[in-house]
Amino acid sequence: MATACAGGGGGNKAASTKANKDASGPPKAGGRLIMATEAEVDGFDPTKNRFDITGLTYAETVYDPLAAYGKDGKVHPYLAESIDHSPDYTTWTIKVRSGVRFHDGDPLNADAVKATLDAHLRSPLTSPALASIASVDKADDMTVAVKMKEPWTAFPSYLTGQVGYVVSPKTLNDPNGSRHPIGTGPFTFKEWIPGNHFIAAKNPNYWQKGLPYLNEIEYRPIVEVQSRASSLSAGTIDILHTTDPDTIVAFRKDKNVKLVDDATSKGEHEESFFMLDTAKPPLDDVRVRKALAYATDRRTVVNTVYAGILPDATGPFDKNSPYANDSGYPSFDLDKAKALVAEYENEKGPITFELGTTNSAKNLQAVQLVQSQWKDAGITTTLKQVDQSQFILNALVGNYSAYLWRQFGEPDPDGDVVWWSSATAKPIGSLSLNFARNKDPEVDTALATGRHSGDPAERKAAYQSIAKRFAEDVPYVWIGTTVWAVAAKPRVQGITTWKLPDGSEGIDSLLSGRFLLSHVWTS
Amino acid sequence: MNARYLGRKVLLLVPVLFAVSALSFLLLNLLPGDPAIAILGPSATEQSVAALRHDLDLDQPLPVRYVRWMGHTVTGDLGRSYVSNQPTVEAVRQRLPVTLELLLLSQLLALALAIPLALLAASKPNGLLDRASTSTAFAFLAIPNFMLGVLLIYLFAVRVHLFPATGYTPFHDHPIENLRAMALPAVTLGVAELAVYLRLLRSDLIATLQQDYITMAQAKGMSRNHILLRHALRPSAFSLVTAAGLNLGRLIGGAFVVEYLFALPGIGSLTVESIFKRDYIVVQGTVLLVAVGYVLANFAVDVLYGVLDPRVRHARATA
Repeated sequence: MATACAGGGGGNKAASTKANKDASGPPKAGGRLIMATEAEVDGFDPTKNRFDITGLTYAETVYDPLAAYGKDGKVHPYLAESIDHSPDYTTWTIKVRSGVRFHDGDPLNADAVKATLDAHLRSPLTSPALASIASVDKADDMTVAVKMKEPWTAFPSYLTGQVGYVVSPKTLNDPNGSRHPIGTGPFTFKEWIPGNHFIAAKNPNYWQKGLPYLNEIEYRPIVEVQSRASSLSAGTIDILHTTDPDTIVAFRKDKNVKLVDDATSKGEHEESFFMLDTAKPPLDDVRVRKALAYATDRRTVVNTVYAGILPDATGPFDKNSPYANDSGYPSFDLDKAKALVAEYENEKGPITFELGTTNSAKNLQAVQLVQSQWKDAGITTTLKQVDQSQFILNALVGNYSAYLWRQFGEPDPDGDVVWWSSATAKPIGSLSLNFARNKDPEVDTALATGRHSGDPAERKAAYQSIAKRFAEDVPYVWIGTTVWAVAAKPRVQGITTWKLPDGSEGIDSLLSGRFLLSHVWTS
Repeated sequence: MNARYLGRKVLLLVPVLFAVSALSFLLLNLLPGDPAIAILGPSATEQSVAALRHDLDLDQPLPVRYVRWMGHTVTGDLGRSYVSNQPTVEAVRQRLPVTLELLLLSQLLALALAIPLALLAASKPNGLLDRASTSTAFAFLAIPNFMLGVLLIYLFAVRVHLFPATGYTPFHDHPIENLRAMALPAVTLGVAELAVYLRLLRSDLIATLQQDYITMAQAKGMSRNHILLRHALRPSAFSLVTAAGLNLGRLIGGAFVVEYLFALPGIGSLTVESIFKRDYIVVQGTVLLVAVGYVLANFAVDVLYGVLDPRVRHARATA
């Protein structure tokens, strides 16, 4: 068991002894890479298909996002030339670069941006997150004005992801468009055979001169984590992404593999946690929820199940987040847990509820371990494994008590509004995006401040107050922070060193597995 | 071959195939989970779920959906994926060659090794080779294929870069790369079959070799090889052929695991992916395909009995 890196971010020590650094000298053009992804996508239409990390990676191959994060942690225009707001943040003006063409030769203009955003507003998939948008209007040939129902300061952060990719209206209007996308991106779509490969070739007319470096890129979904890792060791593939702690630990030690992980990256990360249905007895009692927090020995769970590499989590913002703070979340303390359990049981009787996870061996290990920890505090749980789609449905309708969950990695905390707001907390039986059904006026106020305020300090204080409320009220029992890693052959360069179109440096770390393959080259 | 015998067999296929299609449709619809939720994910709302269920025809009663699906299926239209909008027939056409090649190679490999080994073992029962092959066969039977696959990847892809660890190259693109990519999966899948075939054929051969006509042949002074190949092998192949047919079901099950492990884009991985995404239309198509393939393979085995032993065809035709 590798527990040496228990503090999280243990990659740095290993990094100095092996060639994780990029080769010196200017990037070279040419070459072809094969990248293994953790899953297959449903399609390439951001308004119709759900984009997980593989979806975002594929999308950034054929599309460009309107905006991207810089090394300064701020959102910069990317495909957009400028993104401006009215003084009260109720109108955002997006002007796209002139002279950019889609792969089929059509020009990029305001109509394409409007068509993409309008399609999102009609989409059952992406519209809930964009509920604050009132309308998207064309201001001139290259500019759209997005009118909001309320001030929305974090809107540009949405343009760095699924909502920000500008898709050719031809792709949007074609019922089969999601299977052969047209974008403005660094590579043009060549072939997609689902489950086998997606191949994209260099876009010779790309608007960023000199990019991309690679002539061609091939993606192969390899779902089995060990097979994916072995494929890199065997030289079958050149680069992969993973969240499997055992793979990351093995590759940190492997001198023949370049490894970049986001354990110490600045920004938001997904947390692993037990989500509690606060509307259902006995979890509607804060003493029980607090007892669970005291009874959970996070360190042991991370060391035993996650190879010791997950950084600790005491709230939705990990220590590398700009919103990090001391949330006051309970540390492991079995006596305090027992005291709370005794207090509750004297009043209302024994504590029993169901503990659930998906059909994954790793998740089952984690849940069984936590079950035994809670048992030590006198809390009895029955374990149930549920199929992934049923799992989500159960959480939505409140047909659960405590579920092992992974979420809250939105690039700006404003993206988490739908999961935390009272407005999306519905009674048991109705679909509720606030899965924990946690109605907290203080959280609502803070979320509104975070959405409306243009003052970074005020926003920071607001989100930190949410972390504190979660620590007191315990709708979530935290376990750890997800670590994403990209592993590659040593000849692969430029994974996290790249420049934005405005010349400033792009975000210098991997964030939730994301990086731009347009800037990757081989030595 | 008697035409009436064949005709009756073909007629019997029709209700079997019909029952298979109805059962697979029913089973899939008994699965928990809602395709609409699976597609929309955590951002689902009541309205969007209802709208999508309507688009997908999921708000229709089960019998109505079955009749519609069957109507399309008999015309060769297996519908479109709920999730990727890809026609199921196209997905199957892309994936079927991979699985067929995997099944074929693993069967060929198993038979190519099992038959000569069984002949050698049976010619000297309890000899050194017989005992060695028996114990090796049991060892292979005891190793689950997912474990053997991991082991083979480690040894022959990671340690020695002989074969690719994962992936697939179509045969018509690059025959050698194709065979290199299929080698480890075919061995993984074929080894357990090899053990079964070897054991079956060996014991049947030993039984056959004790028959009077073999003694007669020996008395006539025929060579041992001649007797084994010309007189003993064919009548001893009954159990082997039966097992090869029945085994197809197990092999397809094994192919699901092997395709997942080696990231092969076959019918197995298509089915598994589609099950996880609650993509019923695709799952229905692949399950039907697998079931039909299984039924047809066993039909072929039935017919093959008659070829192997004329007594079967006469007995059954006159019965």
